[in-house]
Amino acid sequence: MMRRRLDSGALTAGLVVSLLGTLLLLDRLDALDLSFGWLFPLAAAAVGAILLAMGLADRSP
Amino acid sequence: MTTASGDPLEPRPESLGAAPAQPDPPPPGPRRLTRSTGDRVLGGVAGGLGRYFEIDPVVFRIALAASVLIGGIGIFVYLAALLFVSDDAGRATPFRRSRLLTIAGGSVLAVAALIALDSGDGFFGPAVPLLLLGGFGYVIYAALRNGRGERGPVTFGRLVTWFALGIGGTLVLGALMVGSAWAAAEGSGVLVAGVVIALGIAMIALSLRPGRGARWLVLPALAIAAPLGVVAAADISFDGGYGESLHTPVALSDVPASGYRIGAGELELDLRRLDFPAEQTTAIDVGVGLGYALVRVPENVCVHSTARLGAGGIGVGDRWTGGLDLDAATPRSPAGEAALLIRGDVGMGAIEVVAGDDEPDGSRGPGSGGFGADRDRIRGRGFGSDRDRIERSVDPTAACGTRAG
Repeated sequence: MMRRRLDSGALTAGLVVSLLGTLLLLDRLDALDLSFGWLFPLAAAAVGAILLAMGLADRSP
Repeated sequence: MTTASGDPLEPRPESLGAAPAQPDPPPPGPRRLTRSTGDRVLGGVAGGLGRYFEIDPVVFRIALAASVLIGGIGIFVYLAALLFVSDDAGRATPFRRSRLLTIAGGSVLAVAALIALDSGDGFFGPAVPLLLLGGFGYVIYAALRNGRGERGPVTFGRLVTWFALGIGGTLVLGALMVGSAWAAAEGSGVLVAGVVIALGIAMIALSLRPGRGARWLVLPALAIAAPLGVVAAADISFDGGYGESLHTPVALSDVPASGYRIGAGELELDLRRLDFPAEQTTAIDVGVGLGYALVRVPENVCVHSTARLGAGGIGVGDRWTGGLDLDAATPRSPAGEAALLIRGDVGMGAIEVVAGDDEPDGSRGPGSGGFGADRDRIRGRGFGSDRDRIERSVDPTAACGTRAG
C-alpha cells in the first residue's frame, strides 16, 4: 500500500503565509503597530523560510 | 526499460553478441552543489560554486571578498554555505539531519544579513540593487539551464512562450498587488489580510495531498501580502480623496479644524492670504496618504513643522527631514513674529512648505529619492508615531526670529 506523503515544503509555506496574514490582520485591527523597521526583516525571514523549506523538501528522498 | 543513454529503443551491447566489455560507468546523477575538497582556500565554497556553475572559482572568491565590504553580507553567505552545503566527499554538515534547525538557521541568517546591510542611511545601501541584479541573473541562468537540460534545447518558440508567460504572470501579480494596496488603503485591510490567511490555510490543506501540493499559491499570497505590509507600515489611508486639489483660504475661520488632507495625489494649500496673529502659534494639520502636498505661506511668518512620516519627507524652505518610520520636526524659520506650526501626517510622499513666491524644490519632491540625508535635523526616530513627544521637542512659545534647537 502506498504511503500518503505530505509536501513539507508547501506545508511550511502555508504556515508562514498564514502567520504573515495573521500579523497583518492584527495590525489592521490595531492590536499591534507594524512599521518598516519590522516589515523588511519579517518579509525576508518569511521568504527565506519558504525557499529553504521548499528546497529541502525537494532534496529529501 | 531504459538504457544508460536514456533511449529505450537502443540495444544493449551484450544483446548483440558482442564481447563482454568493461561495465559502463554509472550514469551521472543530477548535478549538486557541494563544497570542493580539492580546490579550496577556506571551506571550498568558491571552488564548489565554480564547479557547479562551470565558472572559474576565482570569480566567486573575488565576489565574496568584495561583498564583505558591502555590509558584510559575504560573511553570512559563506557561513550559510558552510552550514548547509556538504562537501564533495559526502560529509554532511552538522545541520543536515535536522530540517527544523536548517530552516531556523537560514531564517536567522537572512535576518542577520539584513541587519548587517542596514547601514543606517536609509534603505540597504548599494547591496539591494546588486542582490536584485544577482537574483535576476540567476533566474535567467536557471531558465536557460533547465531549457537545454531535461526539456531539450532552447528554441525560439520556447523563448517566446517563456516571454509571454512571464509578461502574463507579471501582469496578474501586478494587478493583485495594486488591488491589495488599493483595498487596504481604502480601509479594507482586514479583508485583504483574511484573504492572505485563507491562501495559507489552503496551502496547508493541499499539502496533505500526494505530490507537490499547491506551492504556486505562495506567489499570489505574497503578491497580496507585500503591498498590505507596506500600507500597514506606512499607515497609508486614502481618506481625503484622490487627484489634485487646491485650497486658498482667505481667513483663519475658513481653515477646517481637521486641517487638509489628500488620500492619493497632489494637494496645494495656499495660506498667503491669511493674516496670522502675532506672538501666537497657529497650528494647521496637513495629511498626505500617498502623494505630495505643497503649502505656500506668507513671507513674514515664522514656520516650523512636526510630522509623522511612514515613508517620505517634510521640508520647510531648504530644511528637510525624511526617511522611514520617522517622527520628524523642522526648526523654526528665522523670520517673522507670527508663528505657524504645520503638523504633517505622511503615509508615503512629501509635504513641502515654501514662503512667498518661492518655487518649490522639485528635486526633493516625490520620486526624487533624496529625502533629507541630514540626520542632524531629525529630532526623533522610532517604530511608530508619537506626536506628543514631537510637539514637546518644539517649543511653540519660543520667540520667532531665532532658531529652535
